[in-house]
Amino acid sequence: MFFQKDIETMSRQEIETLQLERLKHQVQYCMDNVPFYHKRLTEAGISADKIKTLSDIQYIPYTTKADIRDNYPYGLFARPMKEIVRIHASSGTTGKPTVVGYTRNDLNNWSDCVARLCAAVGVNDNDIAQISFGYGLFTGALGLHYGLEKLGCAVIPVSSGNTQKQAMLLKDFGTSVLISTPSYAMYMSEVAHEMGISNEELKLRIGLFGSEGCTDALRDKIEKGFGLFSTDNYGMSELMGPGVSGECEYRCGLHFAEDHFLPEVINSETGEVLPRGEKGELVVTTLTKEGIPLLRYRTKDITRIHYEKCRCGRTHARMEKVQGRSDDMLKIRGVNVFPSQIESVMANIEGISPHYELILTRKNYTDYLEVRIEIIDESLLEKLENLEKLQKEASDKLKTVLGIQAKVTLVAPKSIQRYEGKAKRIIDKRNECQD
Amino acid sequence: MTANQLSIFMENKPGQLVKVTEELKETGIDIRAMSLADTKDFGIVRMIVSDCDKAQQALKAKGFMSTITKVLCVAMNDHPGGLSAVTKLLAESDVNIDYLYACITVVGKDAYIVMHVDDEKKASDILTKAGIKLVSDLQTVV
Repeated sequence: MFFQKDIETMSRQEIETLQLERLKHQVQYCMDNVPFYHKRLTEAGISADKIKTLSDIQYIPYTTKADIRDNYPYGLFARPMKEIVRIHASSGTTGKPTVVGYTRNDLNNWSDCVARLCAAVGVNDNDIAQISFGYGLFTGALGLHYGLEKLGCAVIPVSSGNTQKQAMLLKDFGTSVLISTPSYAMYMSEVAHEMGISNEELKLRIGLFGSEGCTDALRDKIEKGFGLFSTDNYGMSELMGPGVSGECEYRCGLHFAEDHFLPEVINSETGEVLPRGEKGELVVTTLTKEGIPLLRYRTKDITRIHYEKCRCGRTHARMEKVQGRSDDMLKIRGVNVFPSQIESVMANIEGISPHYELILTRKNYTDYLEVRIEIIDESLLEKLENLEKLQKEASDKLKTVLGIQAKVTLVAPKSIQRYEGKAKRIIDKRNECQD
Repeated sequence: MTANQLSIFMENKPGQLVKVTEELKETGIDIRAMSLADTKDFGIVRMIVSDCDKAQQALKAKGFMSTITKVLCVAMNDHPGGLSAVTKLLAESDVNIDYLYACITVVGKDAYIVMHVDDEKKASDILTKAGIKLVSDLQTVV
C-alpha cells in the first residue's frame, strides 16, 4: 500500500532532478536565513548558483551535533518563533539537549513521511494504533502519532510504562497496530500472556518498532509472541524524527524519503564521500526543512545505501539497518546516551574521582545501566548516610541529564582500571545476557 | 575521653574482608572490637584496633580507603541493666546515638561498648559525671 504513490515511485531521474532543485533552494534558504550557514558557506566559497549537479554537494562543509550544541538553543532556527509551532529535543553530548523547531509545513511533511512507512506495511484507516513510546521531548511518540492520524487510524496515546494496563488496552480496545521499542513489545507480550491474555483475544496484526536496534532473532520472537508482522523505521530529531526512512513489507532495507532528505555515505575518518553501495557514516541533507534546515548533517550512524528499485515498487533508496556508530553514543532503552554526558555529571559531584565505568546489561528485554564511581573523600566514611547521600545525588543527577534511571555503585579508590591511551569506560554485556 | 576508630570502605563482594583481616594480621594489628553493617553493594567496617595509624597505612597500601573517627568507649557492669543505664543518661540529655557496637568481653569483667554520638563532648561529660568509666583504647581492658 502507498500513501503518496506518485512520489514514492518516481523514476530515479525524476528523484534526482527534484533533489537538485530542492538542494539549491535549501542552500539559498540557509544562506539567507541562518547566520551560521551564511558564514560557513561564504567561507567555503559555495553558494546555490555554484551547485550544478548533485555531486556538487561535496563542496558544502559538514554540519555536526557540536554545531547544533554551539548554537543552543535556537541559533540554527531559520524562522522566527512566530512561525515555529513545535519544539523537540534529544540528548546532547554534554548536559544541554539538542533542540529542534518545526514550522507547520515541517509537521505536515513529517506526518507524510510517517504515514508512508505505516502504509508501506499495510496500516490503514480501519486500524487502531496504540503508541507505547514515551511522549515528551523525544520525537518518537508524536512523530508516529501525527503520521498515523493522517492515515486515518484511531490513535491511542498511551505512552510507555504501566505494562499491565498496556496489555489490558491491547485486548479491550482491540489494538491492531502497536508502536513501541522492540524490547518493550517483547516484554509486553510476556506480561499479556502472564495475565492470561491469549493472542486469539487480541486483534494485533502490525508492529511498528523503532528507536533502538533489533536483531532478526528478537524480531522473530516478538512476532511469534504477539502473532503480528513488524517493520523497522529510522530517524533522528535533528533531521525530523521517525520517518526519515522505513521498511516496506519486503523488509529489504529502509526506504529513504528521498524527496525530503538527500543521503550520502562517507568515510567517517577522512570525510571522503564513498561510492554508492559502500558502507560508511550516513550524512543527510534536509531538502524541505524550514524550522531548522541542516546541510550534510553527520548522523554518526554506520550503514550502506542501495539504489535499485524495490520489489514493492518503491524507487526511493534503501538504507540497511544501522550497523553501529562512528562515535561512542549508546542506545539505552531507546534513549541516546553519550558517555560525555555522564562525565559532565560526575565532574560536578564532590568526593569522587574522575574515573568511572559504565556497565550495560539486559534483563527481561530491558537495558540496565550501572555507573561505577570511585569515592576519594575519606571523611565520607564517618557515616554510612554520607555514602548513601552521595549515591542518591549521583543517581538523581544522572536521571535529570540522561532521562533514564542508572544504578550508581560506589567502589574503592583506584579500583577502576586506568588507561594510558584512550580509556575503555564502557562494558556492554547486553548481547551476552539471556533474554 | 574518646578513642580512635578506624572506618574502612568495602565493596560488598566475596573476599574483601579476607584482604583486610589478612593485612592486619601481617602487620601485627589486633582487632579489639568491630562492626559491619549490611548494605546492598558497599559497606563500612568499623574497628577499634591496637594501632590505628599503622593499620590505616597498611590498608592504604592495599588500596583500602579508611578514615579515623573519634568514638566513645564506655565501660559498664556486665549485668542486666548495664547498657540501659548508659543509654538512659544520654537520652535524658537529648544526645543521639548514630551507631553502637560491643567489644569482646571476658566473663566477670566489665563490658565495653563503642558508640558514635551526635555530641561527643556532651555525652562524655554526662557519662563521666555519672561515674561511668570511659577509656581511650581497648588495649588493656580485655
